[in-house]
Amino acid sequence: MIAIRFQLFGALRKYESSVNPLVVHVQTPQAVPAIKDILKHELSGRFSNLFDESLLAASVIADQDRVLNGNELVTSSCELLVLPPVCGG
Amino acid sequence: MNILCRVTPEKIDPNRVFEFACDFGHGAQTFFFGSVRSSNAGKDVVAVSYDAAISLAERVLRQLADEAISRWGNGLRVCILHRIGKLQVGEISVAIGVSSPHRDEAYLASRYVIEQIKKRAPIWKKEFYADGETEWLKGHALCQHSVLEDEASG
Repeated sequence: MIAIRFQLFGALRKYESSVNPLVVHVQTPQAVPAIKDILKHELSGRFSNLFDESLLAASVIADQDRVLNGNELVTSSCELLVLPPVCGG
Repeated sequence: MNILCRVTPEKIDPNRVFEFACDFGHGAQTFFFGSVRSSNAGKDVVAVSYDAAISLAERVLRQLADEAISRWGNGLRVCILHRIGKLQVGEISVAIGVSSPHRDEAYLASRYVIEQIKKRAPIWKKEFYADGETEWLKGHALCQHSVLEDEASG
């Protein structure tokens, strides 16, 4: 089992909690789509009908250096970033 | 070093951009300053708040500067500063300074950088309205290739 800690950004920050960090424990390895599904399940469980699934669906998973592609496997405990559609500038 | 890119909670000082872009061997400098405006889509805006995945955002800004230099000349100097945190109307949110031997490259590089920031930098904007409401603006969905792709090779 590995622990994945999620850091949320933008509109997703409303699902953050300092008292209940977003950490999931999963079997290894896990592909990025499966990780998103796990996160969706976790957030749905915490927020039920207040959770915007479409926003998560439009978001990508990244580490501190890059966006992860759909074929990549996460094999060790880590922190992942969840990036919704961007609007900087 | 001919690139300066920062994501910062500090107020952006235009002089910092001017000073970095100064190159006595160049005949052209362009400066773009994006600022918070008082209305958007018919709503009265009183402030905006920028959020960013800072480390990744700075990597993206450096990549954009590299792409601009690759496309418009190794001699370019490029400065990109993006603010995070809460900004009041009129404050500078993003600054881009480009210095080049001639004006054509400076104009093109500056425009390229701001357009790419809007599509590729992991930065998000929330508007605060006069009626008390707030809204995260809709934006461009990222993909693996959109953040660090080399537009110059496309």
